[in-house]
Amino acid sequence: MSSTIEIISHEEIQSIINKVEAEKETVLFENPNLKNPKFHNSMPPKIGEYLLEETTDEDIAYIAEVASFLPEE
Amino acid sequence: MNNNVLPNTNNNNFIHSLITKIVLYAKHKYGLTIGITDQRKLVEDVYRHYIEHCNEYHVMVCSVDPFKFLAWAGLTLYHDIKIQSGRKRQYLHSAIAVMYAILRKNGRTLNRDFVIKLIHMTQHDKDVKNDKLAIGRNGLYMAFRSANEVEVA
Repeated sequence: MSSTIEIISHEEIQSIINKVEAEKETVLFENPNLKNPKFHNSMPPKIGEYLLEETTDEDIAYIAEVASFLPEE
Repeated sequence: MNNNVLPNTNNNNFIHSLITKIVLYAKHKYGLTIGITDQRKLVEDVYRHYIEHCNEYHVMVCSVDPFKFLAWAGLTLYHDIKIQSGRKRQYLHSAIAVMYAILRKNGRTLNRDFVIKLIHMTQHDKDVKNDKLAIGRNGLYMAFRSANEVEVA
């Protein structure tokens, strides 16, 4: 499925990250300028492992199955 | 490193995976195309908003929050990206479908009727300031994030 649909590359994502961080003069991940942060965000391991797996046709079918109750329109 | 936290070197991979799932699901379910130019705009808009959000609320980000990213991506598609505008709800639904599947992968769920109501409230946002009947970007993300964080007293 993914072979026929163009997906943004890792390099392009990194380029956008670098551009936005330069524009904002800050970084998102582990921002050293953020003193005494009130909240910490970390990826739950199960979700992280899922996201690091390749997205296959079976995965898209899984999403369609569990979300089948969502409206068509 | 805390053993319960994945290293942040995967963040680029996480963003790539989330975009991939939205794009492929939108195509599979609705026949919608999210072209490469719109994918770039999506990543840029969400990443810019992510930084603004974290600065405002003093959030230290070790890794991408999939619910933040997908909720904001869904609403960026719904409001800001002018593609197949007559089907903008289906773009939003694609992001919500991926959020719901991720929630399920983590052993959590949300009542289906509640999700439908959440969608109605999200779609109520009509690009006007202070829409008191809408739920907005943060409401959509927090509903899913809260479901993922729920603890039994």
